[in-house]
Amino acid sequence: MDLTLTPEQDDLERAVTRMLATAPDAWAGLAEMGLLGLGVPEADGGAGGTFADVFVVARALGRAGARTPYVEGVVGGSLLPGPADRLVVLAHDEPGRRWHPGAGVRAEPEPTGGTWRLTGTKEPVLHGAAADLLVVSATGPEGLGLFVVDPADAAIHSYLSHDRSPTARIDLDRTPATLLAAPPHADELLTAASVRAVTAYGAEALGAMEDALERTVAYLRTRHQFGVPLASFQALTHRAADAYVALELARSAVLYATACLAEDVVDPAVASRLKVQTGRAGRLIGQEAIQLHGGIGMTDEHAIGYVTARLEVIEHLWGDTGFHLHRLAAGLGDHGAVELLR
Amino acid sequence: MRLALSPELAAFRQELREFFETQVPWELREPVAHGAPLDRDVIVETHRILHRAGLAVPDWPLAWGGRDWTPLQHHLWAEEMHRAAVFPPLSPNTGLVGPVIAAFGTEEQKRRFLPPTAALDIFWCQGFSEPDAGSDLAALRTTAVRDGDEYVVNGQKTWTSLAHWADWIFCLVRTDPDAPKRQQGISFLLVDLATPGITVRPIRMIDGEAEVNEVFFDDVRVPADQLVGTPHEGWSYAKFLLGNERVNVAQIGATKLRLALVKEHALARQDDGSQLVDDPLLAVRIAEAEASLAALELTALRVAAGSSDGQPQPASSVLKLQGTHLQQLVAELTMDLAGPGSTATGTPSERTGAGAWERRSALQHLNMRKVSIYGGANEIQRTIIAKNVLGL
Repeated sequence: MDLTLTPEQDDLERAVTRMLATAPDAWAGLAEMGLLGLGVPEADGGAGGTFADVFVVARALGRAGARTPYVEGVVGGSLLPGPADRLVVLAHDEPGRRWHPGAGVRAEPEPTGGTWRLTGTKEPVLHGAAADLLVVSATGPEGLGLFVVDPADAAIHSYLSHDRSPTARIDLDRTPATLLAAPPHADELLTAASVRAVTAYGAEALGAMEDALERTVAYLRTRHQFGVPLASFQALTHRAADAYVALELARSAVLYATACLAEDVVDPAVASRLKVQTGRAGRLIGQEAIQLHGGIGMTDEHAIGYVTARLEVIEHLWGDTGFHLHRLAAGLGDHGAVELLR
Repeated sequence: MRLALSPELAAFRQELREFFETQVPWELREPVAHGAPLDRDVIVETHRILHRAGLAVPDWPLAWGGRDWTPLQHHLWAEEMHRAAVFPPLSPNTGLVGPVIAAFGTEEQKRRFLPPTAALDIFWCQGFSEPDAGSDLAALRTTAVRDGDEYVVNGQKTWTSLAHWADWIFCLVRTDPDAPKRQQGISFLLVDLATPGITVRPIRMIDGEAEVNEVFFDDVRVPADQLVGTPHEGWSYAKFLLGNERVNVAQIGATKLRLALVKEHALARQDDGSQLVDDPLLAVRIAEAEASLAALELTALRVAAGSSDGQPQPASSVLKLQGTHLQQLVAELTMDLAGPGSTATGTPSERTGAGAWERRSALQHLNMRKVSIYGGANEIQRTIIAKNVLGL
């Protein structure tokens, strides 16, 4: 077992970080570097590479605090492979529901031809307004299905979420759709997509946590109160140490999940364990980052609060820590000890 | 990135698994599997079986019985040992004093002490802490004054694990009370516990056992050639040793075994067909412990892979902190699983065997409270992380 990145992946990381520091449009920069469609085989129109490359890009985005549809595109591309520059976004979450593998959106077959009409509302859909195509989950006569919708046919209301991510509400009213996956295949596709999504968001969260801890440590060193740096107060430095421990444990879980996907091992339990680690660590590090910055951490002007907000957004996508703990608890009888070495 | 073990490593692991399960008799493993109080015979007999097979000191230098394994091989060795409930080689010997003598001792000291230390013909204990020198170890006051070819030792050590079973003790002693810094006047001394003037007094702990002792030195005369390395350099040897100890005390494999037992109990069918795991809160606590332990194990693998020269890294503090946290968490979980059964402690003879896990659970929980205190209290580890890793 080897959880380290290759020298090429380290180079990629540096290149992405450089681009993010200078390019006016991060999304265009990623496209220019040919990084969209990573992890999708070239035969399917993707950019090739493994999930380890996706990890590298997502983590760099997290560190830089860039709000691009990168992870959404990774997930969409795995559901509906196609040209790398085509952004496919999954619209699954619905208002008034916590994370739920099923869908309330209704799918009705058209009497003629193989097309369908979808009715209902999807929200939040991150980067929904930027999508070239939407994959929409809906419940039809046979159960959950996945459908492809042209965003031009749907009513899309767009706004910025609390972390400043472009987010959309998508209203469907007998909107034409084509079937992508019927039950039970749709469930399997969605489960596999969730493993990719949780892992890629985990990499982004890891980058965001690194950024939050670095900023916080720098602040403890430079901010003076009572005539001394904050770093001279053990009550503060020990909390930073706990944040570091949480970060390293989360890093291990994300690296492992990445290694699994890089070898096409798609295991929901691995994703759930990752989610528990990044969920706990994200909340600890995000909240401590604001608290240790004091009042300035609450301001719009200082970036640290938006790192915390981003970590909360990630926590609530694809099932929160509680959801994944329940899922792990339901599977306790499947194994003795957790075997990591395969 | 690679997930799988190479075929060579997979075969290596299989070989170890077979050895531990077939060559170490179940009578020696059963007390470990069921968390019975420590037993000197179990420790010594197991250690000697491992030593005869070349499995007691694999991380020592090649010349003294080491195996020149990669960090991943060491990890597999420890993992398989714990998985089979084999009591590990005595750590004061193999993990603490042995490596110090091998790294800093004279050739004569290596020849004299390393073979019997590896074979457990000498049972060592560690004399570091004193009544007024706990976390602040450099405050130690036990003195060793040179007198001809001997040092004369006076003072008191405490919390000395297993001193009542030990043959020898390795001590930090103050040899230069006038050194400009407290850390500069300390030496590392090897002492035969049979030397006149030594008194060992067991301390009864909250779990009713007496694993630790006070050790009193009253004009104890120790040959000068039992001072390891250079006089007054003992502090740097102790730091080397404590780094090793931190990795050791994470006890990931042992916690894994305990957690697997927790699951066994939680999933067992009760008389009425129910399972303890039907309680969703308990089930979630077990699931979270499992997720945390997996993350810790992966972190240990990352640390092992990153320390090419075998030197402990600052990351060893992360392992100590989280490793002890999870040891305590799993002990607590076991006790909570037992519920009122945890207070039905019974008599010592009623507490043996697999079926008596509930009776033992609270005593084990109380015993486990020690792990966040010894090997450098967890607050000390936080200070090390803040200073050495974060630069605070």
